[in-house]
Amino acid sequence: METGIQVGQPSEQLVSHAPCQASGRGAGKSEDLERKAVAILPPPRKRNVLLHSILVDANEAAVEKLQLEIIKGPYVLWCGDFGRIL
Amino acid sequence: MCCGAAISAGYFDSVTWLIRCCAIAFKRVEGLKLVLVGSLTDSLRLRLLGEIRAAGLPEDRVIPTGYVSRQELWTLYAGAVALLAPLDSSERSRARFPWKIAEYLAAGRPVITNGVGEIPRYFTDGENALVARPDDEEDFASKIELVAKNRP
Repeated sequence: METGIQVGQPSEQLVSHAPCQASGRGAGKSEDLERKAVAILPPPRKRNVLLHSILVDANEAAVEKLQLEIIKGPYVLWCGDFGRIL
Repeated sequence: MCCGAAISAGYFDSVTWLIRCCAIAFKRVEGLKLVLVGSLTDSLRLRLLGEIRAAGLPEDRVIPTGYVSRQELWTLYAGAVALLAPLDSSERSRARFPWKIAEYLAAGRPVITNGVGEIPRYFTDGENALVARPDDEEDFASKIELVAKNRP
């Protein structure tokens, strides 16, 4: 079963992805991920599954995903470097 | 005494200027929005919000996207009424040629910029770009209005 869950090497623990930034999706998914991971891992490795609040399924996460549909109607566009506050 | 945080080498000042231009133009073009693409820290996003409010621009007409992928960026380019490259008359602007303009042109959308530095060597207003006078908010706004009201 392809789940998109990444099993790390060499510790073979689930790795955490970047938190969902655009949509906030992913919150509350950790338990669901634990269930998925335990289902696919062989018994000796099941204990390597760690719960973490920012764990997400890579296939379901909207990491850095812009919701283009929020831009409705005509628009003009600027693209560039805003800089940062020092 | 420090009276406020400085902003590093990006183009926040240009964005602030652009927001003022849009505040003028958007009064004349109903529904037009400004999409700002680029990574934005939370603190800078707050500052941007302050600039939008100060310009009297409704917040829902400015969309800061944050970072987008290349694919999403080209999608955004393709759907834009015009692509904006404001340049002030500072030494910094006079001494550079924004490669971003080349990318804008490749997208095949109208480009609005200012006649600063080398821009007039490559662009003629109304022919291959819309070239506003340097530091002239009203002129830049009129270019936005022109394109928006004459889009197919």
